[in-house]
Amino acid sequence: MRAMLPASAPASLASPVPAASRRIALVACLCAVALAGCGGEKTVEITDKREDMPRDRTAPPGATTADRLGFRATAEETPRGDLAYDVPAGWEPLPPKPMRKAGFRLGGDPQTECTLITLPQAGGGMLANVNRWRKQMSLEPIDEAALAALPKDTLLGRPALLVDLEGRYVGMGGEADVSGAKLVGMLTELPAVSVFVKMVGNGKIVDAEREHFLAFARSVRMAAAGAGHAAGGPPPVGPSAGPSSGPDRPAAPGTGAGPASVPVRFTVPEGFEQRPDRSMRLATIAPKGATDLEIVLSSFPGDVGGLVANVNRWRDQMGLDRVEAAAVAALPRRKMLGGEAVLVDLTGHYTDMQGKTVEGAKLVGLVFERAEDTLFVKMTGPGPAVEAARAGFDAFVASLAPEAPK
Amino acid sequence: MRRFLRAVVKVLSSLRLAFATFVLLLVLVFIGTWQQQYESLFDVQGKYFSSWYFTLPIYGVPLLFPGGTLLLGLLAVNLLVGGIVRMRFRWKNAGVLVIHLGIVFLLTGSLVEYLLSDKGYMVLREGQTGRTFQSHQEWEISIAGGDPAHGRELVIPDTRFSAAQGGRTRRLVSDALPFDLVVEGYARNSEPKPADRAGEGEDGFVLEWKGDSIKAEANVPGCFVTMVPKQGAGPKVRALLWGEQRFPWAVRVGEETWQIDLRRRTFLAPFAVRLEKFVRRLHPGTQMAAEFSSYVTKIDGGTTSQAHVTMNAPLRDQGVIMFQEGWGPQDPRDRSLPWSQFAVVRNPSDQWPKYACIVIGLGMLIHFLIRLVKHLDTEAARAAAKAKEATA
Repeated sequence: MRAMLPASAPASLASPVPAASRRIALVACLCAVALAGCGGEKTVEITDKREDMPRDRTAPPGATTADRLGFRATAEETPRGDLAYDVPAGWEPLPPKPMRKAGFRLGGDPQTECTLITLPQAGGGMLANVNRWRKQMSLEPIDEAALAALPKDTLLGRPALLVDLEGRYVGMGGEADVSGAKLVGMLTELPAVSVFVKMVGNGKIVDAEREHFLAFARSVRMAAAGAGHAAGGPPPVGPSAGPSSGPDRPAAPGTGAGPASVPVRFTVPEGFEQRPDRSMRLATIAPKGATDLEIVLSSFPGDVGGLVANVNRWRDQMGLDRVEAAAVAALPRRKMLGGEAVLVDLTGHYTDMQGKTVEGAKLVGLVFERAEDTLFVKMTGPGPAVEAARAGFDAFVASLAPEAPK
Repeated sequence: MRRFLRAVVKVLSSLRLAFATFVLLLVLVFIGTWQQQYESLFDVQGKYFSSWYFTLPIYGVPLLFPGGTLLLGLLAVNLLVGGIVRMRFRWKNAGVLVIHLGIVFLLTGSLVEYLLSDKGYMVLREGQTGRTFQSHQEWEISIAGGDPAHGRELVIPDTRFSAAQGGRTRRLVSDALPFDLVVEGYARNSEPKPADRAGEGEDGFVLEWKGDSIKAEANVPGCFVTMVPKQGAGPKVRALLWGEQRFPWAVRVGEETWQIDLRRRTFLAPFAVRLEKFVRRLHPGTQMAAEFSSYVTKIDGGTTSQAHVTMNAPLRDQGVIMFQEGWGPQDPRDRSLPWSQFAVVRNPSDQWPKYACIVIGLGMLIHFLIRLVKHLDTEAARAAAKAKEATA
């Protein structure tokens, strides 16, 4: 290079770059090129084109991000009979999934969740469902005797089983693996649906959230008609598109939404005793010492689906076929609260809260529709026990009177 | 040069190379099987069996191992070169030659399937018609615009943008689009949740990484995308895409609305299928299916035909094969309409194994006949020699 430069060239130009410096510069350039390939933005040319693809998914006009991600139901998806509940502070809502009415992340742990699920049709039995949870926790199944010994609680105004499990959580299909996990759950069966509330995951977090879970489960109720979503919690949504997404949402008429707007008073008949109050019920009485029979007085706002739906709900519960409006209109009437109630007298079989099927059971009930609500008086139990308690049932109904205004 | 080539051929055709490759394949199978405790089958296949190499930490030290593609490729070259070098092209080896050609055809069919096949599933309710099938594990971004009836889409498989995480982005570009799409924050298994603080995430939602599932098909990815209009026409618009979003993200660019979706890789079949009836027989007293199958109508243009699809008797047409794979609802309390799930494969070499077996069988027959004739000739000559001795 020196030979190519004119004699007048500056000395700096004439001086050769030291070999070491050239090597350092080359390595630096290579490193820069390599680093440029590691990070930053890379351009990808789109080469795949598809023609004639069916357009079965498009965004509806005006849809928001919350709609798209499933955090809010669109109007046409909100089903009847939605559930409402009170969400404890600190519970993070999860996107809805098929059959899951609500889901929450607990303690910031992605493996610890609380879910509220409904499945259509009562049946399968409490035992099968409890054992399903036990299997998820890698535990051996239990029998009827152990099931009967489980503690009870209330869910949606009905007796519910309270399940406490500890083990290794593997999920429904083996998709999870949480050692030292705990599961706390409540489950109950309604005529049209089974309802499950389950908290499962890290044992310490489950322990810490136990009281919150119990409060949440006990707060589950039917949403007021037209409200469409829960107070304090994410709104319910319908099933996502596709046949693998699960069942259609069932309606669950007559399953409780709160105390009567016009309270009633009553007298406990001779030989009967009042049992502890439960949510959704105005009163529960039973023959003294009886464990297989009870008389329940409850009230729900509005017509709760109508007379035919309510009668058929009881018929479903007793394993009987449904009837049409004409048959319901022909049912006998009984005097109650100064008006007339429809008398339902059924013989069939039902599944008690221990999951045991009682054959030859009887249901005697009265449906009393008022302007602001519907009152139900129902006695259920084994046939002979119901017959023996019929006089007490009649006396109880006769004692009902509106509560005097205060 | 000739000496070099001869040396290369000698190495490539050597039995030692074959033996070493088999041993390494054995080790690879062990590693792949062992790792399925921690990774999904899909990931193990991709990482160990479909790769050229991989690293495996042994006591914290990453060791380099040859992958399945490299080993099988080497074995294929070894078999081919070794066969050519050792083959004696005489008429009495005709059967052996035909057998080898059949084996080569069989292996080539596997290669064609690996490179060119599409696999997925299709779920149909009774009365429903479908024409697309989706992959269980692979995802894609689809961009559809213009006339909703037109049906044209641009698709980008997840392998081309899944690296858009940890500060890296991928800018998806096409001359057919009036915008670029920049992908960032990709998470292979994720769930959106409301943001804790204002300004976090996008439109009040963030993406939470849930950790990769041991079952690859259970992963639901998510990412953030920014629509960057070309030629400065309009503002950039950013959105969160999630694999289980109910519908695509609709974004307006100029006068046109584009639907951008993150979904399982979707393929179009050359014909449509309508599920007429799903039939199922359970083992008595159980919910376990003894047998199940689907009666379908295949609709191809204006032509329809009936078919009965079972697990072992698939529907085959135009390179697409549909097997009966599953059904639902499986919960007896679920009274939804029954649905049928089909495994769908588009494989150009679907029938090649059958043809290869025919060729191999033919080769074995030829070889048997040649050996039989030779044996009979030898026996005849021996008998003649014995007779001659006896008379002598």
